[in-house]
Amino acid sequence: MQKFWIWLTRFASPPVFYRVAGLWRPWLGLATLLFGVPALIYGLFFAPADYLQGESYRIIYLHVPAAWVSMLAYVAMATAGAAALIWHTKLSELAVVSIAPLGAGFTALTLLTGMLWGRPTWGAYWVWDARLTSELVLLFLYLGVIGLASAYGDARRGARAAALLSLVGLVNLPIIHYSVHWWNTLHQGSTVRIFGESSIDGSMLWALLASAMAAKFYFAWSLLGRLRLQLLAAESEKAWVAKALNLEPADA
Amino acid sequence: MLEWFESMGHWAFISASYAAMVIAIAIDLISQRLGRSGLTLRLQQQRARRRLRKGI
Amino acid sequence: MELSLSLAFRAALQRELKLAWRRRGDLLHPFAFTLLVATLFAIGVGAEITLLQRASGAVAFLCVLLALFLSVDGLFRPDRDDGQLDHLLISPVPLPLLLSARLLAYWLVHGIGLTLASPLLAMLLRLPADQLPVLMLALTTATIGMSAIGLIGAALTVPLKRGGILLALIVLPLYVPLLIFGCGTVAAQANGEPIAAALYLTAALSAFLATLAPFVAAIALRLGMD
Repeated sequence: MQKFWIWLTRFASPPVFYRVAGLWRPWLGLATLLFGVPALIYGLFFAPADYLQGESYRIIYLHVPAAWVSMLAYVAMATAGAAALIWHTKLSELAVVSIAPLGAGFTALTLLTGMLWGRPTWGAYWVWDARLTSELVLLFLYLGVIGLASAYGDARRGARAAALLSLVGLVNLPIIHYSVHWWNTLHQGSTVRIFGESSIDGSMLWALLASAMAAKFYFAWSLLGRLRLQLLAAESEKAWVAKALNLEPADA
Repeated sequence: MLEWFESMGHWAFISASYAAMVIAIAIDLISQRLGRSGLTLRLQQQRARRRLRKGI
Repeated sequence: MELSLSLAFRAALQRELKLAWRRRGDLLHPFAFTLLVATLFAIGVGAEITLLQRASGAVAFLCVLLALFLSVDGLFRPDRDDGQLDHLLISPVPLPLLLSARLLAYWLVHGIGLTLASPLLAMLLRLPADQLPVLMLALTTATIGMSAIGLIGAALTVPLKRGGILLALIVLPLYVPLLIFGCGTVAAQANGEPIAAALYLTAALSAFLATLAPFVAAIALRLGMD
């Protein structure tokens, strides 16, 4: 156990993480392409059309993976936030700051594809469906974290405040989700449910799972890239940064 | 414009969604690339300025 | 030790209430604000009674919610400006205890104060008479949770020059469940259904938030000040 902690703290040291993350990134990028390209091509052209919704259900291969990642990213951000508050490691603070815009992007994509799906299915771009509404609230939570992190003059203090806020958000997220669901059943008992409840054909399922994997790999790939950049910026006075960016050493 | 878009049927919505994904990925890639080159430039200038101050 | 803790709590509470009492003129502002929003809403919708009446419970609730939000920024900012906040942080009494006294005082002054203003609001919006007690009950309960969320938001933004729109972005999304259950209580009464479920959910959420908030706000204040 102690060995594991030593290994972990070594891994959290900026130069080591920078190097290891750089080694992982090509593989993550490759995995994204390997899962994503066949899944999207199959979903777009070869999967059978849904007998209820026709062709427009093909948006599912974007919408659902993006939605999963948007929630997963929030959990990841709050986990990093907890680590930042407990151990004060620079890496986890930077992880909070790097995940927030990425998660907000996935949330925005979820909302956008959901709207584009809604128009042909429900006849309106926006319906106050429980899932769409809680996704919208999730976007606001992300925006709050991003805003708080950038509002502080001191980047580290901003990151810690954002970390705490992300934890508060994580505690509230299930409550928000449940309450919105409750509200939704109260106000419109008979909306057409297109997300989730309808059962899904096996041939669609593997493509959906593959595209979900691709979205997760893309998230990890992009996150590592952003984290590496944040590390370089945060440690700009250190010698390893000069070496990584091919600069002359700071005190020549 | 919107009416024209909607009159194109299902595939208009599908391709708009896929286009949104492509744009999102492009923004992500470009912002990462710009961030890296911007940081390199900033550090280079910072170092050059410091060297000038020290040298002269 | 126990005695001194309860003494500290009472002293902190008394201080807050005394301060609020000295500035009692300021309490009219949020009150006027709720009436103003209700008026603007009624003018915007038009004087059509049925439409106004159907939305009146939710609108009254929202007016109070917005007015309460406006006073959140004042939770710590004046104390930071005159240095009181530093004293709070270096005090030997546990910070969460002092913060819960502050939360209680804030709720007594603003939460209860605005709830007491709601009958006038209800009159303006033509709220059916049987819904008024339910609205006041829901407001009394929900404002506890809202004050607790406000405490966290104010603690997170107090090191910044101004809370402003960022504070709204932090606090308002967290208000959502309270808004849903609070308005749900009034809506249940309007539909002739039992109000207990929604009211209990509001109360449970408020209790949860009020327990958690002083601790979270204490961490936030320490993060911002060191």
